[in-house]
Amino acid sequence: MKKSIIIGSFLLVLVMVSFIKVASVGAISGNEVLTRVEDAMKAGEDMQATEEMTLIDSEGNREVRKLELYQKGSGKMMMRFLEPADIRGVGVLLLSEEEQEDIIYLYMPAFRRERRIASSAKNQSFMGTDLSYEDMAQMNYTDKYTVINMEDNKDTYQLLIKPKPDTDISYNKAEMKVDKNSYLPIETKFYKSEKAVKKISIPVREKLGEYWVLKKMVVKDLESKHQTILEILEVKYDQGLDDNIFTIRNLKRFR
Amino acid sequence: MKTKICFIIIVVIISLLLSSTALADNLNITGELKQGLNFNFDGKELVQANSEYKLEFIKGLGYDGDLYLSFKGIYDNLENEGEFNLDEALLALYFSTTDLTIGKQIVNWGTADGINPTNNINPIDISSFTEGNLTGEPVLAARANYFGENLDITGVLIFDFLPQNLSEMSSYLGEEANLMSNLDIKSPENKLKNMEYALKVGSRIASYDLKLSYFHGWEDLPAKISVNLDNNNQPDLTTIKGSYRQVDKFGVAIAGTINSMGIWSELAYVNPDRSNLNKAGPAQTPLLTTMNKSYLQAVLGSDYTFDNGVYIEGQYIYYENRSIFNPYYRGNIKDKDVKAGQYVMGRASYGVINSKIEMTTLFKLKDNSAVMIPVYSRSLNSVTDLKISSIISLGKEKGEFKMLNDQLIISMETSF
Repeated sequence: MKKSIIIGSFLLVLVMVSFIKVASVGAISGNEVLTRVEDAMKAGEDMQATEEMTLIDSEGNREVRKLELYQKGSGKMMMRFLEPADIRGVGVLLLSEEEQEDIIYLYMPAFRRERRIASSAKNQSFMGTDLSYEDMAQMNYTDKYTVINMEDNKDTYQLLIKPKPDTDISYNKAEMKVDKNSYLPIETKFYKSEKAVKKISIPVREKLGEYWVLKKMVVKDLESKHQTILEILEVKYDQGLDDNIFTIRNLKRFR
Repeated sequence: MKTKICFIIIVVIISLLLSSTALADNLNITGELKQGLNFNFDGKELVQANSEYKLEFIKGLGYDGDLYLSFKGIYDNLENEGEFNLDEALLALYFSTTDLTIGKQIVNWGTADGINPTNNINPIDISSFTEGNLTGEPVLAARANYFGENLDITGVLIFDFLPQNLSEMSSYLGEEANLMSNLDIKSPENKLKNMEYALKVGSRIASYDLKLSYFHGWEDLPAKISVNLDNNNQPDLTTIKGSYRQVDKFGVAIAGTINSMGIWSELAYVNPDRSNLNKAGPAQTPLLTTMNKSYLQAVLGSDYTFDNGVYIEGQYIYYENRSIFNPYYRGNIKDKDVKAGQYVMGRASYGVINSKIEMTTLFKLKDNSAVMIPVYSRSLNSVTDLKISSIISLGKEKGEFKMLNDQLIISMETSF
């Protein structure tokens, strides 16, 4: 009898240890989820896209713009407006290096000279949209944010993230809903002083080869009720984009 | 000769522009229309009603180059007269590490906002000042840009000296403008030794943009104004003559950020050709002169954007040669007695969706004069803007800006 109890207890412990081990293999930390989000958002070595940007004010008035966007790695982005005519040729070049302040240039064709943008402007509205210069750049989430809390739901992870100390981010925190299938942040709410100020959602996403494409992104300013919709018209990945695309020289070209 | 070169280049460009088997192939046509109404500040008199036009043609040559052609026109609705002129016409060719641009073009150098001592290739389009930003007039030039590893070198050869338009400068030249109303002046002869050229070297060092520049050419305003004396030993303004002189300008410009603030600075060391001013023709006496020794021009500025979107900017401007706009003083005044022009320029703006308000102020220290340019702009639709602005000058009695007329300007601009 005593022997069977010992054997039974031993087996029970063995099963419990096995269960814990299986459970720990299947579990994922919040920071790991964030890393996967970053990897999903930085699809491809480089990206070239034509996008349509629709601005909708609180009264429902719309303004449509067209732009071309180039990204390479996590440190280079060049964007140029194609339409409408009054902003055609306006471009932004963002160069980001680890442990260095981002370098941003704005080019206005009317003045034929690039202008260096102060980092204080990085968090401000870009060309009247609900996106900031910071939003336009690929987010190095793991460099800038840390996960405070995570909920593991059926189809999504719910993350609460906060900026790391010494990072130049205007938000206090963000709530991020991550799709378990694609690891895309299908909805993110940004807070300032405990008040939700901006919501970015990805209602349409599509798998293109091995990459998930953010076919449609909606950015809502929760205070002004204004929103910006970004829709990808055409996208190409891994084209071997030349570094020369991400230069002031290219920014200032006529086309 | 200069006109012939200009004409040939324009014909070549237009021919290339139209040479495509399908005219619309890779050809972009854009333009702007602007209608402005200028009122005296009390609103009682319409002093100007100009319709302005701009037409631009851009044709791509694959990835190897672009053709650019633009025309500008203005029609004075009060005087019922107008003009329509070629603005820029250039061919830009792109090689692996070098870009070449040939034709009538604007070359903008410098890092400061609006006032750029190191930007010397194009004469100022003074009419742009009241819009809050100084831009230049196109000149016929050839420009080569070399792009290396964190190094860019630009060389510019200007074929055709374009002086400042004196009649347009009259509001900024003060009393001197009246003296020069009958000025007899000749541009430098079109010889190799009179050609202007410039060089710039740029790099980024520790996240700061650094540019060194050199310009050799002609000052845009005449350096010496002289007259004959009449029988009463008074200046006979019907005999007034002027001459241009060459200068060498060495410049350095830097831009970067410190603690979320943008900062920039430009410094130019100007060395004029003294021999021109020292020549005295028979019976000619100096009436007006400009500084006849080396002098400095400098700008130091910074900007910041607050979390609520308010943008502010401040610049300190130093012009040892008396003034940004008016370098003249009487011929009997010595250089050492000339007071340097010192200014503080401020800009503030705030924008919400479809609307923006901006205020630009240029304040001259020492004489306590200033000009303020508030602007409110509103987007009526995606291509049309309404602008309401004003020009307000302070320190009218003795200040530098006393000749500027206070105005209220309403304009509508549309792009296509």
